[in-house]
Amino acid sequence: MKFLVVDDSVTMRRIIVNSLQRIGYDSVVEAADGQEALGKFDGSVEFIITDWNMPNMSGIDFARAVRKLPAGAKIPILMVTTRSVREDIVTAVEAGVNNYVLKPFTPQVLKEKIDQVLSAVSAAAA
Amino acid sequence: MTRPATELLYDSEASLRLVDSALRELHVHGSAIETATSALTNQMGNLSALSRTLFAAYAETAALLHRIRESRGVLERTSVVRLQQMNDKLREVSSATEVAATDILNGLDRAVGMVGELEAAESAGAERRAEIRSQLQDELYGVMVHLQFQDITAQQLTYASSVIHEMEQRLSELVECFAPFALELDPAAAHAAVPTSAPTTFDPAATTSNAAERQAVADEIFRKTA
Repeated sequence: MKFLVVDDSVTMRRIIVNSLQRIGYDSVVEAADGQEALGKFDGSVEFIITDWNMPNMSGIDFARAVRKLPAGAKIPILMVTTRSVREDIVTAVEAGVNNYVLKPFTPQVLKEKIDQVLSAVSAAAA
Repeated sequence: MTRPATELLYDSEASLRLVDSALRELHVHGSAIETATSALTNQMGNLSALSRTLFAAYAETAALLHRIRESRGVLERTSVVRLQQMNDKLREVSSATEVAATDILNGLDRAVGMVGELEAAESAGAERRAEIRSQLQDELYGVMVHLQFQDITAQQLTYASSVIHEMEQRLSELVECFAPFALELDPAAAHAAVPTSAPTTFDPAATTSNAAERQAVADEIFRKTA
């Protein structure tokens, strides 16, 4: 499974990529903001992990943009962010985000959320 | 009692002499009095101009004080709370940095111990060595996960920086009030302290605290609305 990890923090990208590798996902593409991520989003990407606060294009705008694309209508999107205000989380749901992980996360939570999203997506497809 | 006529005549003559003497004296100093009167008139004119200047200065000072009071009000209303929040954020940065450093050091201590165990387990079975290696990998991975504090504290510091930037702008506006009075401020120097590329993307509420509780709230919202 190919992941697209979008975060303006190099540290966070490294932590997420390393976490994915430990879970067993080695195929990862990285982007520093939503705009760059849109450029790297092609038919091969199967799972998106994105931050919210980023320059040029935020994670929430990126999620909305992806959902408008034919290839992005059903792709799993997991948001990993510091934004824990209730209204923000509801906004993420409305933007089409499948699940939400708050920073700082534990490796267990990240794995759990990825598994949940994949289960929900495959259940919906079945 | 009536005085004799001769005596009255004598007194009148003496009085007239005194008047005559006074008139002579007045004539002698007349030019000096004229000069003094003229100077006094000029001084009166200057005093009038001074009065007008003082009145204009009073009006300008009153306007300046009004603007300073307004700026002070704006600063008080909008800045105090934000400065307190900034102070809280900076305290949290300090605390989060210390917690993360302690966790990382503890993890490294355990990792060093495991390396020692691995060396001591040379004679042990391959299974035991594999177990220690796996534990060591987990420990080192844990150290990496603790480094998430950097992303969060960076956002907190960016928030603090934005508050300072805003205060600079408000103080700059306050200083502008004095500009008509020629304080000779160097505009280039005044603006040099203001960062030209203040970061724009950060979460003002970013925190390392209560991660589990905040995650539970997010999970609940997703369960109900997704």
